[in-house]
Amino acid sequence: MIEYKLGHFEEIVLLTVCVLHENAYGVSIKDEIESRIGKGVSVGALQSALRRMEKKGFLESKEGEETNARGGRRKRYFAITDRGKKAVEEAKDLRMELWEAIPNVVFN
Amino acid sequence: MKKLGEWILTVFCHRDYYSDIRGDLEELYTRRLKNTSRLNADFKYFIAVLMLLRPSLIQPFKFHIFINSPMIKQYLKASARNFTKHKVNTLINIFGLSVAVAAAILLYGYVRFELSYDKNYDKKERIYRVNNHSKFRDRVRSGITGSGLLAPTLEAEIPEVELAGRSYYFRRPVVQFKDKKFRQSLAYYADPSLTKILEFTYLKGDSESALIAPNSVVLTKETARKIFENVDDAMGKQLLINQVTMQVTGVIEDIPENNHFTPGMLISMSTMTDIRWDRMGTVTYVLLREGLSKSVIEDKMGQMVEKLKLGDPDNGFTVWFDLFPVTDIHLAKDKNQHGKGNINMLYALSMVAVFILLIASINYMNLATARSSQRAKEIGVRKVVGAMRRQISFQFLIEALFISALSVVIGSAMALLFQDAFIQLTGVPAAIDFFDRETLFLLVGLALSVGIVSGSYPSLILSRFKPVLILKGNYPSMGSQALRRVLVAFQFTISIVLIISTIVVYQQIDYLQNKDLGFNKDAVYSVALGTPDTNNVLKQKYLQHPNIKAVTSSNLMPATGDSGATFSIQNEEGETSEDNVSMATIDNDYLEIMEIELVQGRLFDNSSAGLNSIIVNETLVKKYGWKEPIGKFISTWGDEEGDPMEKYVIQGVVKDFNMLSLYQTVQPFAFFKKPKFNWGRKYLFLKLDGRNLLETVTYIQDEFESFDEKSVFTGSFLDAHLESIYRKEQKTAHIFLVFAVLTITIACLGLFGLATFSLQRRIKEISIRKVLGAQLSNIVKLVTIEFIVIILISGLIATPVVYFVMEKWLDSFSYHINVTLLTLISGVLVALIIAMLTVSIEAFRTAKANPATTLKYE
Repeated sequence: MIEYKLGHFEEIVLLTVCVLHENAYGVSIKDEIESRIGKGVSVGALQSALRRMEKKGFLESKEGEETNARGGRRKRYFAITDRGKKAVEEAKDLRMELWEAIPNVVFN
Repeated sequence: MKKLGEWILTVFCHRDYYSDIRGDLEELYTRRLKNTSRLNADFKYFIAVLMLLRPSLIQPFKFHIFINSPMIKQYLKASARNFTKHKVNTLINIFGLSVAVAAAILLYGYVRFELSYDKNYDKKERIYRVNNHSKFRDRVRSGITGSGLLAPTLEAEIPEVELAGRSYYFRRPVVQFKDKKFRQSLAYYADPSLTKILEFTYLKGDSESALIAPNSVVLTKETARKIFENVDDAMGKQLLINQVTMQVTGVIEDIPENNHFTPGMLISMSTMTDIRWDRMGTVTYVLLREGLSKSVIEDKMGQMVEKLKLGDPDNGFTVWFDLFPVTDIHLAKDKNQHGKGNINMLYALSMVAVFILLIASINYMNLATARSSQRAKEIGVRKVVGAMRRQISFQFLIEALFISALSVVIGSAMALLFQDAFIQLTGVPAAIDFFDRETLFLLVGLALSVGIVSGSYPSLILSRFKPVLILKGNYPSMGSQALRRVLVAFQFTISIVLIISTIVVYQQIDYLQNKDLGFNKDAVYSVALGTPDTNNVLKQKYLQHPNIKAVTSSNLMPATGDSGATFSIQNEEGETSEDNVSMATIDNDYLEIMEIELVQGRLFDNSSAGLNSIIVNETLVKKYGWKEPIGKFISTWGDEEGDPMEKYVIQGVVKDFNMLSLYQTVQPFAFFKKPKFNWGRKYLFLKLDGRNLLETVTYIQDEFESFDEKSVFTGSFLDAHLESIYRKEQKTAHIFLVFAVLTITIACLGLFGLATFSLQRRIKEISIRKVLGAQLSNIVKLVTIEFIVIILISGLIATPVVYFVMEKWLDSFSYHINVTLLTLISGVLVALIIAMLTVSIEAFRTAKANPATTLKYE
C-alpha cells in the first residue's frame, strides 16, 4: 500500500500525463494543468514531481524530437507505467470508497 | 538576466535533468518573448530558474571544485612564498587594505549609531510628536512647542490616542541637597504618561505613582548618583529645586544616548500651574492605538480644533496640528524638528567609506597586475602541468581573498584601537560591538567583497597567459597599462576631492570665527545672574576690582537664541504691517562697552524720561525705508480687550551687529531701556583689561557667591562662548581632515608601489641613459612625468565636482566664503606634491645607483 501513495499534486500530474497520452512533456503538461486548475505551476514544482514519480516507478520517459523553439534540445516525453496506473486507480478507489461511505445527510 | 539564470542552471541543476529542463524553459521563454516584453520574459525565466533550486532537482554538491584541500594548501603556500619574496609589496597591500577596512568599520559604526536614534521603543511606529501650527494674518508659526492643554484634550477627545504626554523645558534649575549644590541641565516638567510613551525604565517607583503629585521629582540614575552616595537612598528624599522643596518619587535608568529626548531630571507636570491654550512651550507626544495611520488622527485633530473653537477664523487666526513620527526626529531635514543629526553627512561618510575601500582595492589590483610578470613562470609551469584557466584564476582569487581576510582581521584590531579617538573626534558614542551579528556579517561581507573586487581583475589577467610564450622567456601583456593609469587617476580624483573639501570647510570656519560681528567680543566676561542685581550691589563690587574696566548688563546672551515680539510698524509710505523684532533690554552704557557703533541719534542716558525710547539697528531702518528714522516709532498691537497700544520712539540707530549665529542674516532689532521689558534672565557683561585673568575670574566668582548664595555661578568668556556655536562645523572639519589624510596616504602607498616597480623594470634603461650622460634631474623627470600627468588629469576631473558640492554646502550658511580658484589649485597642488615626494624618493635612489653595478650582469 505504502508504495502507491500519491500526493495531491502528484496525482494531478499523473492524471494529466494520461490525458495528454502521447504528447506529455514538460511544457505541455504545465499548460494542461494550468488551463484546468487555473493557477500557475512553476517549472520547478512540476519537474520535481515528474522526477520523483519517475524514481518511484509511476512514470517512464523517453527522448523525443528536437525543435528550434527549445534551443535545439530534445523533448522528454512521459508515459504512465502499470505501476502508475495502479497508483491512480488505488487513489480513485480510495476516494470512491470514502464518497460512498458518506452518510446521505451530509450533502443534503 | 537570462544569462545569469542559465549559469545558475548549469551550476546547480542535476546533470540528468539539465537538458530537458533547459529545453522546457527555453520553449516557455520563446513563447513569452512573442507575447510580452523581453525584460518580462527574462525576468520570468530567472524566477523559474530560482524556483527550480529545490533539493530534488539540484545536483549533489561536488565539493572538489570548491574545496580541493591539497590544492588550496598549495595555492596558499605559493602565495605565502610570494608574499615573503616581495615584502614591500605585501606590506603596502595589507597595510592599505587594513587601514581602509578600519576606516570603513568606524564609519559604519557612526552611521549605524546615527540611524539607530529612537528605534529602541517597542511601540516605535505608534509614537508621534505633535507639531503645532498657527496662522495669524499671514504670519505662520510652526514648531514642536504648543499649549499644555493639548495633551489632556487629545486624550479626552480622540479615543484613538492611547496616551498623550507632555514635557516642558525647565531651564537649568539650581538643585540643592544638604551641602551639594549644582545647576541641573536637561531638566523638564513631564507627565507620568510621557515616561510610559517613551518607555523609560523605572528602577525605583513606577509610572503609576511617580510624577503624580505636585513637586515630585524623578531622577535618572546618573543624576541620582550626583546627589546621593547610593542610588538606593534617593527615594523619598527632599531636594531643594530653585528654592522649592520637592520629593524624589522615582529613579529611572539612564536614557540611552540614541534617544532624541534625554532628560536628566523630570518634575511632575502638576507642579506647573496656569496652563492655558495661549501659553506655549509644551511639547506633546502621543501613543496611537494599534493599526492606525497618522493621517486618520490628524483629521480627527482638525475636527477637534473646530469643535473646541481653538482658532478664531473670523479674525484670521487658524490653528492646526500634525504628527511627526518619533523615529524620524533625529535625522529630520525640517529645522523645526530640532533633529541633531544630518542625513547628508551620513551619505557623505558612507561614500567616503566605500571610496577608501575602493582605493585600497585598486592598489591591490594595480600592484598585482603590474607585477604579474614575476608570477609568469609559475603560471606557465602550472599550465604546462595541466592547470585549467579556471584553476589559475581561482588561485589568484584565493590569494586576494586571503589578503583581504587578513586585512579585515588587522583592520578590526585597528578599529578597536582607534575607536576611542574616533568617538572623541566625532562626538558620537558609536562603540562597535564586534560580536554583534550585523557587525560580523559586515566583516565577512567586507572580506569577501574586497577580496573579490580586488582579486577578480588580476586573476582574469594572470590566467590568460599563454604558457608557450612565457616559458620561452617572452613576457606578454601584463594587464593594460592604460587601465592602471585610469585607476590611479580615479584614486587621486577622490583624494583631491577630499583635500579640497577639507580646505574649504576649514576656511569657512575660520571665516565665521573671525568675521566682524559688529561688536567687540574680546576680553568680555559674562555672568548669568540668579537674582536680579536691582541696586547694582554686585556691579559696584565688580567695579572695585582694578582689572575690571566696566560692567554693564542685558537680558540677551549672544548666541543662545533671542527673544522677540510682534510690533506694528509703519513704513515710509505710511503702510502699516506687523513684524517680528528681536529685542534686548540694556543698561545705558551697554552699547559703548560692547562697542556697537551708533550711526544716528543718541544713546540712552540716566534721565528717567524716555522709558519708551528705543535704539534700533540699520536692518530695521532699511526694511521700512525710513529716510529719517529718528522720531519714528513701532507699537504693540492693541488687543481685542482694547488695551491701549504702546508706542516706542526711535532715539538712535546702531550699525548691524550679529549676536546670533552666522547661519542667519541680521534680523530687525531693537534695544529697550531698563527697566522696560526687564524680563528673562539677566547677564552682567564685564569688560576686563586682560591682565591677571585667572585672579580676576576667581574674584568675579567669589563676589557672585557672596552676593547670591542660592544660585550657582555660571560665567564664560564671550569669545569662547561664541566659538562653541561652530563646534559642529569644527567636528565636520576634523573628520574630513582625518579621512582626507587617510585616502591620500593609501593612494600614495599604491603609487609608491607602482613607481618602485616601474623603476625596477627600467633600471637598465636608466643606467644606460646615465652612461650616455643624462643628468640626475633628467632621469627623475623621465619617471615622474607620467604620474604628474595622471594627477593633473585627476585634478581636472575633481575640481568641478568638488566646486559644485562645496558651493552647495556653503549655501547653508548665510555668511559664507566662496570656493576660489586658488583653493582648487592649492588642493591639486597638495596632492601633486605629496605624490611627487612619494615617487621621487624612489626615483632619486634608482637614478643615483651606480650604472656599473646594475649593468654588470648583462
